[in-house]
Amino acid sequence: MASLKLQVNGGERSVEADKDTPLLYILRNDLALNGPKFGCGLGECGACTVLIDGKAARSCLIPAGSVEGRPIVTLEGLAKGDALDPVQQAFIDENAAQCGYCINGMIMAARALLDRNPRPTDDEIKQALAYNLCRCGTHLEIISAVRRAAELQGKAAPRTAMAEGAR
Amino acid sequence: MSTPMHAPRLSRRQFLAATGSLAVTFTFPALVKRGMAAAGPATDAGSQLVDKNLVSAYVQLMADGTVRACNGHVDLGTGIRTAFTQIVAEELDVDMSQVTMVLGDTDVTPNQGPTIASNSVQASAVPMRKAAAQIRRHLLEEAARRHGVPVASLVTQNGQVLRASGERLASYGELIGNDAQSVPLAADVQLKPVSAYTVVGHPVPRIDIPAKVTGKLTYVHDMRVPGMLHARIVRPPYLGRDSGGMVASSLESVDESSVAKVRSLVKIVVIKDFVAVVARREEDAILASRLLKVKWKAPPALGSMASLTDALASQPSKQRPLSRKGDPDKALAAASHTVKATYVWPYQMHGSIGPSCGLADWKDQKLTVWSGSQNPHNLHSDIARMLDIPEDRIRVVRMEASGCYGRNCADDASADAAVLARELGQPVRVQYMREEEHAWEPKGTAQTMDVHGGIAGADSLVYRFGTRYPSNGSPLLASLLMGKEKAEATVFEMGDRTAIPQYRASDLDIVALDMAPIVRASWMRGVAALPNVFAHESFMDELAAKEGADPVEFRLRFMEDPRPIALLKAVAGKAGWQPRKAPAERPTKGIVKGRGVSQHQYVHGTFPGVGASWCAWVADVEVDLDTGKVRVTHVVAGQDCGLMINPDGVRHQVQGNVIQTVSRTLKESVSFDQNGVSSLEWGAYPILKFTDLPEVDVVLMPPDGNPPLGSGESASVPGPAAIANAIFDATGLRLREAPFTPERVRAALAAANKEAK
Repeated sequence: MASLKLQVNGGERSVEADKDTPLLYILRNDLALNGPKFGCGLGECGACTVLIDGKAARSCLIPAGSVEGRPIVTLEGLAKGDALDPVQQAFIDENAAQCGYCINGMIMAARALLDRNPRPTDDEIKQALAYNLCRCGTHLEIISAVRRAAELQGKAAPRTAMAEGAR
Repeated sequence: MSTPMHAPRLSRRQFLAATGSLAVTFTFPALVKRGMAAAGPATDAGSQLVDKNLVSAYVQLMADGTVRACNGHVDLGTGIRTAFTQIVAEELDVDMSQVTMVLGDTDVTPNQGPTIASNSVQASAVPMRKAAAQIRRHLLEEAARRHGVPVASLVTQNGQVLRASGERLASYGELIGNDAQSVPLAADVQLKPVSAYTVVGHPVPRIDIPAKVTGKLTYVHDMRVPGMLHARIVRPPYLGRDSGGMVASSLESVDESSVAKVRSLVKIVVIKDFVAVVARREEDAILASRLLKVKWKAPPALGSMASLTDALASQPSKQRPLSRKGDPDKALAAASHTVKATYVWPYQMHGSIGPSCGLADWKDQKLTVWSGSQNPHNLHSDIARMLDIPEDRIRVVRMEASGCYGRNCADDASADAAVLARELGQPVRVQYMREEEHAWEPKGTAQTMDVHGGIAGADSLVYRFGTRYPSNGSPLLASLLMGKEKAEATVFEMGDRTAIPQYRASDLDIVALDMAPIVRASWMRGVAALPNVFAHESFMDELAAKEGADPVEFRLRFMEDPRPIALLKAVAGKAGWQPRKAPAERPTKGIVKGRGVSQHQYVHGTFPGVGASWCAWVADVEVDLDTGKVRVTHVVAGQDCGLMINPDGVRHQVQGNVIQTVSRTLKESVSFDQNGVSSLEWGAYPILKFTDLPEVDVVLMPPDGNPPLGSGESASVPGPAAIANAIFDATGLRLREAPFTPERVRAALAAANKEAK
């Protein structure tokens, strides 16, 4: 056992666990963050996706000890207070979940996509989500949601720029 | 028949005691007979702790004006919680935000049978709706009595009773006061006319989605209780097989020293072939399950599954005639065109993205089980039987879970947890690993359909059809592995779902060949009907091709019911269907395009069954003759389900079913080796990806005053044949065995080329 120091959702958290424990179990069991889900433990399905250094990563495969000190963001860390992340809002607007078990991965992968490409084409959205599995068949709603999230962000961004410019 | 009021059980009293509530007695005749387990999942099996004849079983109005509504059906991710909330809010005239739905809690909700066949709105919402209507009626009468005015002069609106003028008389809460009341009710309570609906029939957002996108919804996988331990199960080598002499008799030894170094290990539990490791930390339970040295006897070899036609044909069966009419032999001899063929559907997985999980707590001689089960009341009585505990000392609480689309391992994980919680006297969480769910989930069974039919007259068919369905209800794994229940495969008579094609036929001979499962198998979306309709609708296309007829026109010639006729025309119209004949020439290379049609109603339940929605598909495909790869590029899927509670919800369900069905038809087939299932992760069992998606257009027929029919699942049923028919249109190749993988297409092409030489 070791004392691990993790930067999760903007705060430092200390956890007693083996360094090679997959990050997923620490997030869920020690930090009670239920957003990331166990789907396969093999990095195949994407249900466990979190952001590490702003990039989508599969927490079921990543030893917790290897990400000490690096910023980790889970689904719970996307909203700013009561203000949902535009990706979350867009998933609500488009009814983009059935059982919702895969949705954590879809939202986190979409967040990472929009951070590196704010105006993705439909093909780019499909490519970015190609290794996130959904069994309910919610794919079309999810694509619409990512498209809408890009629009919501696009609308919000100029306002922010203007506000900053006025300051 | 009336059921007298009886002293409420403790749990019910606790449930009602929080505040004054209105509970109304309500009686209706029992709808189903007992003892029909063999006909499928018993609709009235399972625990019955809540009296179904009380209105309070369905709807409870609290003194603060809020409403608690209960239903025995559960939300499998399909949005039924939202639809039920709409139904109760509508009938009671309260805002949706005032209604809390409790689904599938055996202490609280009535047993309304398994949540199967997309039947929740069509059937299980009915008593709930009547209960709400009766409570509203009572409130009007009570207000009228207090104010000395005629009932007819009052109206209800948003939780209030008003004079027709709009003057407020009382809130619902004020009218029921603080004492629990009981009001007897006639079964013929008057329901609100559809024309007065303001909530039902209008699109509303799903109420569960905000919590799902913020990580706030507690799935069963997310449950944590104080002192909870983590378990993993170590499985025997006969992967995915649940009958035969090896079950519960294959364990030779367990070397406990092999896990001595696992730090938080608490216990190793061994009961015959049920082997579990329990630890305080989840990663330690996983580690222990991998390190534990267990010696098993080698299982007897599974018979070859290379040819499913042969495997199913050699499985003992019993013929069960379903429909016979005219003289099929004579009609076939005289028919102008005939088709004789065998269609094959593969073993498939439910493929829940989250492997099953269950949590159980054993405290003060009482067991609480949190489960993602589709059928919590059945699970309840199954666990009681397995552990020899009376039902009233067990409570099963249904939590949301990963979508299941039928009988996955949700019940098994829950039962495993129950066994372990009792063994340890502590709460135990059991999470299945990916390979475990892949191996042991009861598969959607392979099915073979033998067809011999033809055109018997100008507008009538002769049709001989036999269907083999080796599947049952999958008894709890723990019960089998512990030897509590004998591993003897029972026969379920479920192959008959939608076995009778809905076309005019002068001569019919339809039989089910009932048989026990070969490997662990149970119902999966479109149970038996989807393969049966694959055969019916491929056959219709083959016959149309032989006659040189357009597939849409050909079907219309034999259809009688105006609703599916209107639907097929609407779907063909939306797709811009151009009349077509069988391809004159067979292309041999490059990418070719084609389009196919298929339609049918989904008929489910004990034969002759209940009709759910009608559905029709037009599918467009591209086939690469060099690689054999088939892409479904566009689907127009239409559905007539009568009244839609939430039209948005129906549309999403249709889309979801279309995508899942394209996946099943093009890609999915479980593979086996001599031990059992060998597809043990997603690489070995690929499903449709974002990069494979078709465009989908949904056509929803106007309700036209028709009552609601089961929706969503119906939309999967015509899919496989529409795709097969489109492949034929593109290539001239007739594929009769799914999935339509590149290998199958190349093999069909090679066989056709050989034949042409």
